[in-house]
Amino acid sequence: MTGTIGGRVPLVDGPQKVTGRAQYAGDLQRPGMLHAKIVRSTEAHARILSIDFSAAREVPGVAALLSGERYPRTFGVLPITQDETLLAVGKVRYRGEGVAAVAATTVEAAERAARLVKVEYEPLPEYDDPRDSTGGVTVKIHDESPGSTNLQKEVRQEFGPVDEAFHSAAHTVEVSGTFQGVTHAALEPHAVIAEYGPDGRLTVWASTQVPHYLHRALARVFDLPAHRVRVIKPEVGGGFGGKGDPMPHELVAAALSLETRRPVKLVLSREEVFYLNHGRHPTRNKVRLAAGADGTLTGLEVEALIDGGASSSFGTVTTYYNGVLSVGPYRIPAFRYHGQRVYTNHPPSGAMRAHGSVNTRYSLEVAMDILAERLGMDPTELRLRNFLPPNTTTLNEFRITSNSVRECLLAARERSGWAKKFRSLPLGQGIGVGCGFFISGSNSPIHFTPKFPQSTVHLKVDVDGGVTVHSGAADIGQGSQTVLAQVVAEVLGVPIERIHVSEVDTDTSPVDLGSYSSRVTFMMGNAAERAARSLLEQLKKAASDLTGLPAPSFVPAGDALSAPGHPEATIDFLTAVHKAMEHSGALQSSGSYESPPLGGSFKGAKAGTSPAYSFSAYVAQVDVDLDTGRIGVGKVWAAFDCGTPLNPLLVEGQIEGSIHMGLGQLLGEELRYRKTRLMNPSLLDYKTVSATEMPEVECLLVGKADPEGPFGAKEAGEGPLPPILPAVANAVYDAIGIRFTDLPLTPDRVWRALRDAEKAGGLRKPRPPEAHAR
Amino acid sequence: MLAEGFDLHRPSSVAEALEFAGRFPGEFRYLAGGTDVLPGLFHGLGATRHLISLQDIAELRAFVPEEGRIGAMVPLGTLAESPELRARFPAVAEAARQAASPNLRNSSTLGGNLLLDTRCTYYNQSAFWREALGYCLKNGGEECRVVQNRERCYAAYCGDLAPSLLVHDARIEVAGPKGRHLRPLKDLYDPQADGRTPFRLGPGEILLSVSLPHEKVRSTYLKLRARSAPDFPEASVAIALTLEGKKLRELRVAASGVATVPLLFEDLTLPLIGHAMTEEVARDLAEKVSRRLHPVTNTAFPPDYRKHVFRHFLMSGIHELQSGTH
Amino acid sequence: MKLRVNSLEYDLAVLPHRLLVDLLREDLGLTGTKRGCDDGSCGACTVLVDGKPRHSCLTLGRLVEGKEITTIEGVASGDGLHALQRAFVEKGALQCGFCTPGMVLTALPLLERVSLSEEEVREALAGNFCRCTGYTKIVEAVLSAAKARGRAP
Repeated sequence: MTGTIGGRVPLVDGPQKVTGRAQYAGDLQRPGMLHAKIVRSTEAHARILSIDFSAAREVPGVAALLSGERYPRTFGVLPITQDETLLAVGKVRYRGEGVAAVAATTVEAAERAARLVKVEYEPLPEYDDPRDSTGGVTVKIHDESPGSTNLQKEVRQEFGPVDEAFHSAAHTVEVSGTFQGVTHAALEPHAVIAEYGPDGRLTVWASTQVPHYLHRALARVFDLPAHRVRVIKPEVGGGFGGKGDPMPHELVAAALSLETRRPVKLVLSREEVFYLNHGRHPTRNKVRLAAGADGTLTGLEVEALIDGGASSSFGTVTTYYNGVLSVGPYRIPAFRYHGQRVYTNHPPSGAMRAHGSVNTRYSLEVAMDILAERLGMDPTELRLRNFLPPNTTTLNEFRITSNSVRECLLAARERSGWAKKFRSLPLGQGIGVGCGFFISGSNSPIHFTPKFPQSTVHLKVDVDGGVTVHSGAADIGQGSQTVLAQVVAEVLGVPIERIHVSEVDTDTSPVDLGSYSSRVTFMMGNAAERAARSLLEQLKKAASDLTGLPAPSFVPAGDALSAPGHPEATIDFLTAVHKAMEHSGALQSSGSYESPPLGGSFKGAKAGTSPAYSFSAYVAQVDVDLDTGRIGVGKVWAAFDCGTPLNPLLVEGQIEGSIHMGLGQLLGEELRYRKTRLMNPSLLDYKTVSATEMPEVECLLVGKADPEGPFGAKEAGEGPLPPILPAVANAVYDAIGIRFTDLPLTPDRVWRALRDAEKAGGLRKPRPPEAHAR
Repeated sequence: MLAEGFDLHRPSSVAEALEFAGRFPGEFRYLAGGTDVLPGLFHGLGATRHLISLQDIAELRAFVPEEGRIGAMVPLGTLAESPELRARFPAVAEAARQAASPNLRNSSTLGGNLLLDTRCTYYNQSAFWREALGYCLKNGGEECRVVQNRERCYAAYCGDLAPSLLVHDARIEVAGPKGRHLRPLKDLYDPQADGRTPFRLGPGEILLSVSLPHEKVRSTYLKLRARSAPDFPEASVAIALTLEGKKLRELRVAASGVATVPLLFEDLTLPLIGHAMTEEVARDLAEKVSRRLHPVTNTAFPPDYRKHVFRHFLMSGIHELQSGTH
Repeated sequence: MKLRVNSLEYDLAVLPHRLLVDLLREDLGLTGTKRGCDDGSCGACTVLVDGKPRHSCLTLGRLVEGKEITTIEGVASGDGLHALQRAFVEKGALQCGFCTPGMVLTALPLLERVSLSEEEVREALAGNFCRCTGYTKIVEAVLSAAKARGRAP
């Protein structure tokens, strides 16, 4: 062991990035490259009557013009809901959808020609409120929806005696929440270059989190054998789910390259990124809790009406997650869920960091806070009473292995000085708590055919002793390349400098399903560990051949293989490598990961199953300006159980970044629509949290090793997000005695509530708990 | 990406700039720091055949804070960081410090900020966005999208510097085809005009500099915005106040972000001179001032909230300046 | 026209509408300077013009004639990283790296200040957006580089 695991190892690609050398898709050039521009729909729901290219064709430099009919085959990230086309075919479903595209010699020419494309529309009824999409729909957005609805997916689940639980409960609490759409706003706008070569192969460089799914979509839409398609993922400037689907513009670039036989580059403007969206769904939900007199939870009911926008994306999964990801971290003996995801004429919603779990988690954690107050209990005590233990199974048959949620809450409570602060700070100041859990990768891969592991890693050792790692896992800034290098270096006992992680290239990288559902560290990490162990066996055999000692007597350490008790038999790494490749000229290995069979046998039983779950407990302290309504978040104590942190530096980065993004959704970010019109498609008007508003964060990594995670690790990419929203909202309640269930809590909304409270008899802090007070 | 189709001129003197302007009547715009004009051009707003850059005119970059003289091309960053300016004209330095974002302030200039184009959520959008909705009054269309009407544009003036300079009784120097003249800054803004053309500048006229009177006045600037950067003011107030004993020797209040022009409330503050500034007087003033504000729903925050915070800022600003805790 | 970028002189024909960001990225191949928005909000395109951080997306190429431009490619000198760059890497101040060039160039002049507080760093970086780090480690990195120069507590 070299000690890279568990160390604060900086990103292996850090020096490239910090010097401007890292190449993102938009930085790349190809010889003879054309530039593309998409013509976007000015209508939200309309039939396309005609597209007139005559004026555009006259613009000097125009090489190709394209409309949707040319390549009408559908695609989508889930095989069961392939309802997107690269450009609209027949009708448009949201304002900003691609209708036509131009390729030209310069960006300017492409833009000028795009402006001259004339599209004639026949407007159709527009659907902007999901409540109008559940019935009485006159012109459906997609024909596949049942009856006169715009339903995309409906889920009903029931476990245990729900009605009885609510009937006999000592306390019931109901919270109805309203959540606006939010979007990833990764700093890098999407970019792609597609090149259809004279060899009949299509190569695509794309800022994507899912090279493998893009590979499949390209092959499907253009009816090419997959081996004639190559996807290369350069550096990606952030994703957060926003680059987690095969995207229409990626196929548009490919189509234009097929038409022109030249490389075609397409870089989205920031405004276009807002229309592409695939962000967190605008949602209305209702969470009901039933509890006994001592606070033990007896039942949970969740309803969600989810605005899917114009296409399906990951929506079927979203619909399940809004329900099933509420069965932890508390023991729930009875559970009912009704979720509906409907199409509207908004830009598509999709997967965004902590996919499907944030909005339900918010209402649930606020409900827990209300329940604690009803019971006269400290909300941390109520949570401690109800936590799931480690090594258990939930009511809906999620297998829980390692679980340190109790340790998380105790740590956050202790470090924050909770006991002295809760209900005791002056009016306007408050402290609050929120907990959560999240999957370490979905147990069921999106595609079942052909059947192959969720992640595979190849190692190739060069004659110079360098180890090249090939993986299809997409590093989008989270540091998966660094984790790969750490794992391989650790197993082989070599310095991390020996390890070179290759960029994703479907020609050389084995399949990994991609960077979504927080699966990479767990699944790729396990695959990498197995590949390295297999390589180590070959090296031990070589050491054995050189020394005559049995192979199992060797252990890797300090860039060598040594046999304890035989100091003379130490073989340095390079010597072992040369011996191992003596006859074959090659030294390679592979490892893979397949998750174990998990979950029940009921409909939808696989949704939310994962080989391991992360757990979290956050405490936040706030200061509410009683005059202006502005919420200042002073400090967050973020206790997180990601098992053994492989790299605390990166885990902290994930927690701090998650808090930034979660606070954005809570305090100010929203896609503001007037009917179907997006009012703020710019980074000036979409208010992410700036450096001055970001609170101090104390990360508390208290997890214990997970039995199945690589070196005991679990996910840390998404689970750190959900608890921050309710922790802050519950702190706001502690500060001013007002509950907020409609997000975001912009200062004007808080001010309005403060004014109403003063009119209604004065503003005061909530009373401290009487019973069980500590 | 900026559309082709304009020429860029770089005069090195005011006279030369005026000459260029005279050569292209109705077909030119002056370019200062570019942080307002260029984003507009990206969106097809204010397109023109000739851009006349003022950056090479040394005279416009003169900055003599101890004398209260600031050239129109002095970057806001220079104003924000000047200790002399902060000591003598605190509201001006503070407004500069809160404008835009730190790096933008290295480009954006005093003159550009004073002549900042009015803003509206229906106007500051891409050509695609505006085409999809149909153009508004400010953009050659026939109807205002915010307050449905066919006469008046409600785009808001959102410059940060104007209120502070107004309460410091600033004068401006303007050069035009007929020569140079000095006039009060407040005359630069036409309260009768709407959001389309709120500035009183003749064809070709160039704002050269701002001068501030020597007398020492205490002042402050408070700004409402969603984030500390780079947001425009949703409502902001500048206050200048000096006491003689307990009585007001000087009081001026000005606002930005709440109307089509910056507002100076002289008729409301003049009668208070010579009287004591009590809590009640301040509240009464805040009430009267806020009745003059007519923000509309065309920025991030709703109008009633912007008026509320304005009132609060006005009262707490007065309190600050009186108690010397500023 | 003549342009000095990272201490090297270039002789270029520049059209009036050419923005500095496009000139750097496309004509000079200095793609370290990024484009993240269309309105000057995000700061990813920040470069130094005569030592001051400015948005290259809001700067016409012709108007920097004769000025000294520093891009991220010109920050490291000789064989190693600049101390600020090293601090960014070691403190985990970058993830996806897309805002990093603009962040580094915004922070670089701060190291020349006599003293530097956390609040000053946050204010100075408020116009540079990052979506990965929550700014925490960026602020830490800048302060640690300043501290190494004896400029921060």
